[in-house]
Amino acid sequence: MSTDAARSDFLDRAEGWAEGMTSSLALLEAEPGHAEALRQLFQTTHNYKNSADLGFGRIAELAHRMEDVLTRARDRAITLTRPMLDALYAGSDLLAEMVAAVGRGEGDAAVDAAGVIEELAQWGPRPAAGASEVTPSPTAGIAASPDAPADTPAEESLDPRARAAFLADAEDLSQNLSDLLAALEPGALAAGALNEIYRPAHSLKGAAGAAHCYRMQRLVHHMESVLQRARDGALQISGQVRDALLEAADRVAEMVAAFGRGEPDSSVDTAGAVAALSAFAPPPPVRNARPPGGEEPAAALRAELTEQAFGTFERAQVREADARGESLFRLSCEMDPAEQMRFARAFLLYSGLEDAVNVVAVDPPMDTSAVEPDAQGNVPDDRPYAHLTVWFTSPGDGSGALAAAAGAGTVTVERLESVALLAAAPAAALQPAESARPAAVERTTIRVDTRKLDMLWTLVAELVQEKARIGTLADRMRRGDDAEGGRAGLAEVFDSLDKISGGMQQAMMETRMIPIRVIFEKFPRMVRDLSRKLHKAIDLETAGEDTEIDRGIVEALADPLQHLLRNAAGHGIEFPEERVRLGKRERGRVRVAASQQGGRIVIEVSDDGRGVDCAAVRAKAVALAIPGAADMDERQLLELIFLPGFTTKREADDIAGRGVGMDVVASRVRTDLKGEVLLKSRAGAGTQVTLLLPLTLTIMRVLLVRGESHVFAVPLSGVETTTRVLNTEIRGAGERLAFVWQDAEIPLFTLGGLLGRPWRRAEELSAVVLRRGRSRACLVVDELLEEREIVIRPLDDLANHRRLFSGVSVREDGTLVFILDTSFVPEEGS
Amino acid sequence: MKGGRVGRRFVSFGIGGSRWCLPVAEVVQIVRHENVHELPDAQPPVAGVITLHGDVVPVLDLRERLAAAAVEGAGSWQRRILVVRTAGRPYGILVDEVRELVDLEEEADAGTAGALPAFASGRASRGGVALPVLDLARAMDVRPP
Amino acid sequence: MSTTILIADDLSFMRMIEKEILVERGYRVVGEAVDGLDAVEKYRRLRPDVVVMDITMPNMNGLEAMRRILRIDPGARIIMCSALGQQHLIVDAIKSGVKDFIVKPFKPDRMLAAIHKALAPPPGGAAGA
Repeated sequence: MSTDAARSDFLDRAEGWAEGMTSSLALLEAEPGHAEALRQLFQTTHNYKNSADLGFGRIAELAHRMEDVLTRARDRAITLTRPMLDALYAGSDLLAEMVAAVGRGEGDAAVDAAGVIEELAQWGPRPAAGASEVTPSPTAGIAASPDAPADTPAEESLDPRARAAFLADAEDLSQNLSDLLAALEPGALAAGALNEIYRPAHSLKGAAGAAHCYRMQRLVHHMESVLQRARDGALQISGQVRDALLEAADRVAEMVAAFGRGEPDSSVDTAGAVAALSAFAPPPPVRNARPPGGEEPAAALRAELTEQAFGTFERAQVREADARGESLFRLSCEMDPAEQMRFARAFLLYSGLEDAVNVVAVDPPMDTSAVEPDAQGNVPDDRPYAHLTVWFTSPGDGSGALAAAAGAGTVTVERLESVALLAAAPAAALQPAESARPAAVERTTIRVDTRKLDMLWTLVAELVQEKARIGTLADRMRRGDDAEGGRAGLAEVFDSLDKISGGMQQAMMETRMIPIRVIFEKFPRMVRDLSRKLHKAIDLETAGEDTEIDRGIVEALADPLQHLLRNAAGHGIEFPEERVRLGKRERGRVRVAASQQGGRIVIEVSDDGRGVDCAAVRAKAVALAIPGAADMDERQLLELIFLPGFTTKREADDIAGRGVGMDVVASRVRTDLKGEVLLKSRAGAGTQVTLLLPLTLTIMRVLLVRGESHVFAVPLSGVETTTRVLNTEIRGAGERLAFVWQDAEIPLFTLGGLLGRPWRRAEELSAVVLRRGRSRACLVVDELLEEREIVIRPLDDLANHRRLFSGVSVREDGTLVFILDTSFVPEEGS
Repeated sequence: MKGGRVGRRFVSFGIGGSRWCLPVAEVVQIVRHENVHELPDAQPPVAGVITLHGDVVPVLDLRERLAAAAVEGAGSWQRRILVVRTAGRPYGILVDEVRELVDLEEEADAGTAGALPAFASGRASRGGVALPVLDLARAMDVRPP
Repeated sequence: MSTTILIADDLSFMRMIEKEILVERGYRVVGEAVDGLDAVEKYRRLRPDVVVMDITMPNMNGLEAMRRILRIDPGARIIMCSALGQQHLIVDAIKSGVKDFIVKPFKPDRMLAAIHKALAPPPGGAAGA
């Protein structure tokens, strides 16, 4: 088990390691002995190894084996052969998978790395006589790990500011802890007092982990375990217990002092303190749901087991409640033995609780079919419901639950430390094997370039200044001084605020943008693997890695790009012998380039392979009886490639799937990314696929209008002007209405008409004159509101079945504004 | 033909008077039935949209589709919206009550226990309890039949 | 101003026993119904503070009567009485909004506790759509 903070910190840092590893391995492969690559690799394996202290023994072991091989390669004891590199690549992948498993709460043991570890071990150093090699054993948790010295490695030392901050915090917490413990009366079980001590211990544990003071962290963890037992009533605070805690607190203080002097925390001997605390340490976690003999476990144990079995769903609920400032409680109800309908009583309690608080879980589960009589009229035994446990979250002290539970029996409510619950991995035995993965925990943090944050910070500072100015102005105006000056000042402030808020919107939008590099990073490895599998020689070139794209489209973009790469490698590039025969370079070239042009993102995937065989395309088109196929020119033929099911390959090859798969790419780009795909090709010379994507997170200037009880937005770029229309000026009837505007008749639309509703004519109407190219149209609305900038969010097709809207925006008051897609304005000449 | 049984966690819920379930993996979140914005051009079964984590998520009322009547006496306080993820996008399903998370076994061979209700992709059961598993894709399909 | 109660049960001696218990404790029994239809009708007319209703009655059972009463008055406070072997009906009643239930044969204290619970104000806080 590890602390929430330390684990979260580890997950954050580990995010970048796997990619870096792959890049470095690629460099090393290209240039054996590449110094920078080696340095990077050692740094990464070192980081991974340190996770042993957080309980991730498997990760540490794999990293250790990889490091061994790299060390021997560095020392020229071995040369890195292809199988070795393959194993290293595999190891890097597995490490990433293990980290992901940890992020999902499954623990690093969920990933099987035994094979790769064994393989790497064969190239590792032979155990030399007298060599002190640390072999990390898979640790079950911090409580079980050997108290081996773990110095803070030089590369991982904190920067001076962080050091100072940690030192200050640690000194406070450590002092607090010692004071509270000294004041503790032996025998005192008051939950309040113990909670008070628990808090600084818990905080210190987290901070120590974040500051890489793993010995300190481990010792505080031991203290915490003891305190937890006392809090749960499993341990009395005798004089001995208190003394053990006090001694441990002293050691902690010594370690903090050592940190302050710049000494590693291993300079303090903690063995004695750990031993003393271990005497009162908790028993190892129970793994089996049913003890042998099949007897019903005691209620308290059951509750504990159920908590351990909380899946990702319950945990997510608890986490969210925690964010709302609610606490997690456990309600236990012992029913009156004379109760005849235990299930109904439990159900009544549960229903009442649902009204009062947020229920997370119930044990036994509230399955109302449990009391349905079967065909013979028999009803299952409802005795288990005599002991009911309900987990719920609620603000405050949870007393509302007691009120709701009145009359059900003997009811107790206790507050739980929700952090502990979230940190524990679900007990394997209680969850049946799941063929589908449970919903992964949503990471709600993102990594943002600090320069972007700095920009925001500057803007916030300016905002604060303007706020102060408004305050002064308001004061003056209230007092009646200088009304004129006050008004002018206000206008100035408004202008400033306008600029600042625009800047903030821009800055916020930019925090959403990340360089496309995150997608490109995977390509070298991919191309390498493909080349090997296909027995081709392919060089990859990338350009424009710094082009920024919206974070939200990264996933949707990665797939089609990978597909295109696979196509290029699989179908585009010819075999080396063939290329030589054709007078080409033996090694094929694939290029992926990204850039931003005219408000769009342009990504080109090109290769110098055989190009599209237009004759084959034509033949296929004719075979498919596509009209006009025989006479189509090259451009039209290339378009056909995007049709679903269109493939000119006779057999599916498992690399690029069936044929070209361009229809999948095209539909993904068009639907998910609202972009376009273009294809250019020259037989024998190569192919180029271009993706054109809109810059997604858009801020648009719009005109807000009201109509049909909703507020709509019309993009200002499509607005010519606004006007009033007299009923008498409207010509035409039914669906085809028109209006004379600047001596020409233009079509007239109504919001009602667009929505398919009948439209009441009024005497005089507000209207917007829309433009599309050179054509104009008139849109009649109920009321013209204002011009402003809005942030557009996409609107799912299900909510947009007439495709009337290009998006939706949320106003400050939470209501929605629907952005009209003005393509109903007829184009010129139609 | 094997009738394979796979044990999994399901969310069971009620729409109208009928009970359904969905694998927990498909349910992203459960939120209260509140702040559902009306759509200007509503098309059943879409009942409106909610804003969730910055996304605008369509909410569907499947009661008519599932041919279930409104529950007598089911107070609106029990109504919830199940946020599910299908085809990579979030959608909300209006339910009259969320019952519980329960471990059930999905019947791989759906033909065993008789005809399935419409819009069910299979059945999941444990002991004597059998619940139809909601076929989200079909239930949410808005194309004309 | 004491609390008014409506009793509904098809058996007259049950009604008698219940009435005795309630009156002794100072409650005012303002009506007695003999079946579900009667109960709904009397509720409409009398608007008692609490209804003590048996779940099995002829013409219309307690469950259905409860639902109708709740439609008339969503805030109606209803307590359901049931014999053993009808737990699933009680569960249905709970789902429909019954405040508490008693199992026959019951002790007087149990009924009074149920009335108490029915009269308690609804819990606030997290609830509410």
